[in-house]
Amino acid sequence: MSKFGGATAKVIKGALKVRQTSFRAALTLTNEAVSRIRVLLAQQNDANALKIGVRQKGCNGLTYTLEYAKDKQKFDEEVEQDGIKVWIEPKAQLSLLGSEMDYVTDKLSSEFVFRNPNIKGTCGCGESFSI
Amino acid sequence: MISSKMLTRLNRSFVQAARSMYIQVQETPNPLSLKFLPGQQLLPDASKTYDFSSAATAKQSPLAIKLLRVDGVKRVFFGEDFVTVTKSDETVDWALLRPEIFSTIADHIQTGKPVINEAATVSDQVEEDDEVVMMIKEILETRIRPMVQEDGGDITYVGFDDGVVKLKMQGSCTGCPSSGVTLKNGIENMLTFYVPEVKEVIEVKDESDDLVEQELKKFEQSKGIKD
Repeated sequence: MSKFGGATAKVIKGALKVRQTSFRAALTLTNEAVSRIRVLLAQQNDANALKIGVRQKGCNGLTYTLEYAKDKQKFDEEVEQDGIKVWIEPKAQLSLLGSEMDYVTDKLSSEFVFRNPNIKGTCGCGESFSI
Repeated sequence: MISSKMLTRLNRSFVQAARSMYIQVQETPNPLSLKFLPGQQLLPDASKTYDFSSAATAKQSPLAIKLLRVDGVKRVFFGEDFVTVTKSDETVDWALLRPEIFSTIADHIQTGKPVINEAATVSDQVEEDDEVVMMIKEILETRIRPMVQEDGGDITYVGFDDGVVKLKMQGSCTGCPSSGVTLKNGIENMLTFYVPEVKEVIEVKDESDDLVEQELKKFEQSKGIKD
């Protein structure tokens, strides 16, 4: 696995924007998120997917991390949507299942946002969360 | 896999063998448990794990009996390539326990005897599971157990009734302050997500453990021994 430095994403509690399908995917991506990931992966020569992990970090317990990855690890969960691959670490799967990943752009910031129905609370900026 | 060079070293004196064998130590989420990795495979069957909390239940494992004799050791758990040792309580000092655990593990590996005597193992019962139970077991086996074993513990399936999955936690998970959170918020979340029939996940305490402990207390009282 190639790591080019980690990044974090915002976490909010809330219902999904995309309509729930009969088959429950581990993670749903909005069109904006898919477009953004495609742009990011196109800039990387040897990255095949975006990898989501979880770390004990931040002021409210846990933080998701985003990294470029070349190889899929044994127990990573793969989510493929519109040709874009996202790999989820086993520990991140525990709290991320059923969430929606979005990419929000406004005047103040542009960032990935996870709409997570499983979390109990987040800190003020949404970087860390508790389950 | 033990190389021939390693075997030659193992035939030398105990001190040299102990020095050449590097045992890695990892912390676990449970502050009372440490995970020891001798750097080789301990169990022949990777899918099985063993949890011993008293010498009476550890007859099939000479190494577990030796470890449980160390003063301050309460529980011993074997994974494929690791040993998780749980101490009695907060007052026991890891600095004193570690060297004894190291030497006990290294000494046993030096003898070349197996960690578990398979002859004493009770064969698993093969039951006819319905589709939902099979799904639950598969998710436990492929997703949850590898992650829990990484932290020096294990989770075994006990039963499934009326939407409630019963699990037993072993190794460093027993008595871990985080295990309740992991069970309720993590594992329950994962199982309810993949198997809609699952409504709740609860932890099952080991009845035989309680029974053994009670009998031991009675025995100690009758002999006038006090903890």
